[in-house]
Amino acid sequence: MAAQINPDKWYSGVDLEEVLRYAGVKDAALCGEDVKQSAVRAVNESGEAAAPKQISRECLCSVNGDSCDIDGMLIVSRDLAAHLRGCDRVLLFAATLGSGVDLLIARYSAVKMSYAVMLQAAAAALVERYCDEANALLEARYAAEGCWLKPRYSPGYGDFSLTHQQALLARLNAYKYTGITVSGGGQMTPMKSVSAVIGVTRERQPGSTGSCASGKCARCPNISCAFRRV
Amino acid sequence: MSNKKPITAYLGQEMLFFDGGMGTMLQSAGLQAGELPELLNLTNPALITSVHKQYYDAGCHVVTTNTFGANRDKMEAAGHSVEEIVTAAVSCAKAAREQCATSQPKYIAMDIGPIGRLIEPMGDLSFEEAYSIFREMAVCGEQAGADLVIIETMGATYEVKAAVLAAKENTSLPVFVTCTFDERGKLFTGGDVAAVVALLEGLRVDAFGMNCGLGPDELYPVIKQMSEISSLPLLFNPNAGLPKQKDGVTYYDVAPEAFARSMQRAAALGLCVMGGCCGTTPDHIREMIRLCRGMTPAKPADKGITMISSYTHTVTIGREPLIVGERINPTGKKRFKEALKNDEISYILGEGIAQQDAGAQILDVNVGMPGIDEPAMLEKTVKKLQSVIDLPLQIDTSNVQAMERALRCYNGKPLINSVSGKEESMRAVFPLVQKYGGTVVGLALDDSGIPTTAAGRVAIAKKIIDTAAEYGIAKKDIVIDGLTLTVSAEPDSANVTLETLRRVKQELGVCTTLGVSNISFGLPKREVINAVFYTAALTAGLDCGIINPKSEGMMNAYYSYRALCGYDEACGDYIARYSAPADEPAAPKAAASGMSLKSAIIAGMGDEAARIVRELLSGENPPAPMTLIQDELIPALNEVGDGFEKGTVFLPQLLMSAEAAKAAFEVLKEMLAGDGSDEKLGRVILATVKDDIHDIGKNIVKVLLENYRFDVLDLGRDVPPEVILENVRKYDIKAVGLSALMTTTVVRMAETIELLRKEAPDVKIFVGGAVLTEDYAMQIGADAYCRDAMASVRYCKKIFGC
Repeated sequence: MAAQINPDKWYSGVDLEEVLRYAGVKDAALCGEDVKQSAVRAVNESGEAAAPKQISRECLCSVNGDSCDIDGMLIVSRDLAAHLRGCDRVLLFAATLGSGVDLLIARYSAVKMSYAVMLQAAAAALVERYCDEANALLEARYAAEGCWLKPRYSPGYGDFSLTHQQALLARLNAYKYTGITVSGGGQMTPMKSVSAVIGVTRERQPGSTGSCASGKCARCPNISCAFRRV
Repeated sequence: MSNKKPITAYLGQEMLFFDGGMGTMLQSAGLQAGELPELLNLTNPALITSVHKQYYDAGCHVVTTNTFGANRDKMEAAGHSVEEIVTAAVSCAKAAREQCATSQPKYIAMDIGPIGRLIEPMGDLSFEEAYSIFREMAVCGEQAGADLVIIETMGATYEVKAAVLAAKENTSLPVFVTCTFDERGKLFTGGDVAAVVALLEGLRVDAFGMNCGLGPDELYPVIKQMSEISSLPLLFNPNAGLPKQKDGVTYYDVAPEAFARSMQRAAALGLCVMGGCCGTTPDHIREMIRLCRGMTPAKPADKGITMISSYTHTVTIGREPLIVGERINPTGKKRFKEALKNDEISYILGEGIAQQDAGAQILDVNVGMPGIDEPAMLEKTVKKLQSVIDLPLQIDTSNVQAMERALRCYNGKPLINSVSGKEESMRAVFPLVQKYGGTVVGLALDDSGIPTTAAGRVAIAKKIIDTAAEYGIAKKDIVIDGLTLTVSAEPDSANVTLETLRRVKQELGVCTTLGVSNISFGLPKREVINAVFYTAALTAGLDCGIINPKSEGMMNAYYSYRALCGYDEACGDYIARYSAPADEPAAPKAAASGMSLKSAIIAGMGDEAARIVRELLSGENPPAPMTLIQDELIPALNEVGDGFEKGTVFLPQLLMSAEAAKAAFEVLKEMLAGDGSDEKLGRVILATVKDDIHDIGKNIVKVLLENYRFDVLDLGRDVPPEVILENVRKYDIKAVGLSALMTTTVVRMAETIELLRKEAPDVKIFVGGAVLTEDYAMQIGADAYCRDAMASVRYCKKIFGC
C-alpha cells in the first residue's frame, strides 16, 4: 500500500504535484512511483519537523509617488507603491516553519541529496500553505469590517529591496514571536521563512489572497524561471 | 548603598524577586516602534531610572539594566559603543538604588539578550564571534558596577553556551540564565526542557529558568517539568499572559492580581527567584511580592540524574540499556583512515547517520590516528556531526587539547571518553569537565596498569569518583568502564569484567559502560562471541554498551534483552522489529535479482547496485574494477544524464542514480582500495558566494561532479572571495564553480569573479543559481553559465579534456 500524506495534519492539503514541480519534476506522469512516494514522505517528514509560527501587526501606510511610508519605515519601490495604491493600512506579516526543517534538509544533504531536494520542495510548499492559512484567518477578520486584503508582497519582489528585511522584522518583533533572524547578508534564518507586507483595502480583490502566484510571476524579472505561472 | 552579601548567598535561603517588563514601561512612556530602547540610557536617563526605582519601590531585589540588545551589532549601527551604553544603563540603575528607601537588599543585573542572529550551522554567526560579542557586554557590565549577569530570552542552546562561557571566563559575576520556551516546551531551535537543564547544570551557572514567551499559567507545565529534574536554583520570569493586539499595539491581558496568584502557584513547585517579563508592571510585581514574600524557597538538591544532551534532547543514563555507536573510529578500519587522511567529512557523517538509523542513542567520536592534527580534526568533526545529527556525542580522545576544543564547540552536555585513575589524567581531564560540563567515562586503570582482579578495578573506580568530587563533579556525572580485555589472550578476562560491572553498580552506585567488541580480537566470527558477551554484560548491569549498531547479532541481543527484562512494554519494539510489515514489498533482493549493474544505477537503486558489485567482485572470475566502471557505471550515468537534458529524466531521478553509482563506487573502494580505480579527473572548487546561505544548488552540483570522478573541494556557503582565492592558490585549482540564489548575492558573485580574474587569471569560472541568466553570467565575467548540474559536469569535462 502506498504511503499517503498524513490526513489530520495542518499540512494535509499540500498539493503533491506542486511539491514535485518544485523538486524539478516537470511532468509527474513521466516519473515512477518511487519518486512520488519520496515526495509523500518528504511532506510528512518536513511537516513533522516543522514548528510553524507566525506574527502580524497592522500599521498605517501612506503612498506618495514611488515611496511608501509604513509605520515610519520609508520604502522607495515603484512596485510596492503600485501594489499598495489605495491602502491606508497594511499588515506586516512574518511566518516560519522553524529550524527543525533546516536541520532535516542538512541531514539529508550530507548523505542523500535526491531526498534533500524533495524535502526542500516539500518545505517550500508547506510554508506557502501555512502562510495562506494564516492569511485566510486575517482575511476573515477584515471581511467583518468590510475590507479586503491584497496578496502578500515580500522584500525581494520586483524592486522592493531585500535591505528592508531587517526593519520589517524588527517592527514585528519577529525574533521574539517566531524565532526568525536575519543573517549578516540579509537572509532570513530559519530558511523556510516568509516576510511580507499585506495591503488592507476597501476595494474588492479579484480571487483569493495568499501569494497570488500569477500576479507575482507577471512582475518577476526572471522570465526563464521553471516555475513561472502566467 | 551596596550589599554586603553576594546575591548567591540568598539563593535557596529566601525568596528573591526580579523586576518586571522594561519595554512595556518604555512603550507607555512613548517609545516608538523601530526605536532602540537602549539609546534612552543616554538620551533620557531620568526615564530609565524612574522605571528601575518603581521596581525597587515595589520590593524587588534585582533590577535588570536596560541593555537587552546593547550588543556590538546593534549599537555600532546606531553610532554608539557598547561600553558607553552599558555604563549609562548601569548608572541609571545605581541612581535608582540610591533614591530608593526600602530596606531589601538591592542588586543590579546586567541584562544580556540574544544577538538576533543564529550561530552556525543554523545561521551565519560563528560561535567565537558570538562569544566575543557577549564578552564585551559582560565585561562592560562588571566594570560599570553590575552585581550579576542575567542572560535571558535565549532561544538557542548554542547561543546560551557562548554567552555563559563569555560571562564566566571574563568576569567574576554570578551568572543567571533564562530561556524562552513555547507551548510545546521547546526553544525556537528545538531544544527541550531537559536539554537546557543538562547544558546549564554542566556549565555550572548560579541559577536558571525561563522567561518571556507565554504567561505563568501557560508555562506552568514547563516550569514544573524543569523543577522535577533540575538540581540548581530556579528562576521564573513569565509574561503577563499572551500578547493581544489592539490598533496595532501589542498588549498583555493578565492583571496584577491574577498574575500574582499564578506566580504563587508556580512558586510552590520549588522556585528560588521570581519576576516578570513582557507586559508586567510594578503593580504586577508588587502584588506578586505581597503574596509570595513569606514563602520558603526550595533548597536546591542534587536530583542524581545522569543526563547527557544534544541541542535538542537529553539521554538519561541508568534507566535502560543504551547503545553508543562505535563506528566513528579509525582503529582497524582502512576506509575510515583513508577518509580522515583525505578530509572526507561526508564519509564520517554517513557513518554517523547510518548508526542513528540503526538504533544508536549516543555516538562515540574518535578521530585519533598518527599523522593527523587531532585537535583540529576532532573540533571539525564534532561541529559537522552536530549540524546534521541530533544525537548526544561521546567525545573520545586521549589528547587533552583535542578534548578541550571539542568540549568547547559541542552544543550540549557530552559524554567524555575518558579519564583514568592515573593522577596525570585526572588532573588534566577533571578541570575540563568542571568547566564545560559533561559526564565522564572513568577507566578502571591507573599508573600501575589494569588490575587483574575486580576488586582492584573497583578500588580505582572509587578513587576516580572521590577525586572527581574534589573538583565539584558529582557521582552522577561519572560512568565507569570496567574494561574489556581480549579473551583469547586472557582466559579469565570476561569473568573479571563482568564481576567488575556488578560490583561497580552495587558498591559504588554509578553508571557503567564498556567497549564490548574488544572481547573478540583475534577470534574468527567475532560477532557471535560479541553478542553473547554483550548479553552477559547487560545482565551484569551494563548501561552504555559501545557497540556496532549495524551488527545484526548485537541488535538481536539488545532487542531480546530489553523484551526479556522489562524494558520493552508489551514487547512492542521487539515486535515492530521482527514481524515483517505487511505493506512492505517482499524481499527487494529477489525482486531485483538478475538486474545488471547498469540498470540498477539507472533505476536509482543504491543497495542493489552495491550488492551487485560485491557479488561480482567476490565471484569466480571477478571483473577488473576499471572494466566495471567503463562498461557499466559510466554508460549508466551518461544515459541518465542525457535523459535529464532531454527532459525525460528529472532532478530527483538524476540524483537517485548518482547515489546508486556512488554506492557502487564505495564498494569498489572498500574492496580494492588503492588499485588505481579511484583516480580522479581533476580538482574543482565549489562555493556558495558570500552572504548567501542557501546551498542546495551547490550541493546538487557537487553530487554530480563527484559521480563523474571529479575531486570536489567544497568550501561551503557564505564564502568570502578571499577564501576562494586562497584555496585556488593553495591547491593549484583549474576550475571554480560559484552559486548564488538571490539578486543581492549575485553582486557578491561579481566581486568574487573580479578578484579571481585579477589574482588568478588562469582559473576557469562557471556559475549558476536561480536568478542568474546566461547574459548576466557573461556580463560579470564568468567563463560559463551552467543552467543545471549536468551542464556543470559537461563544462568540467571540457576543461579537463575528458
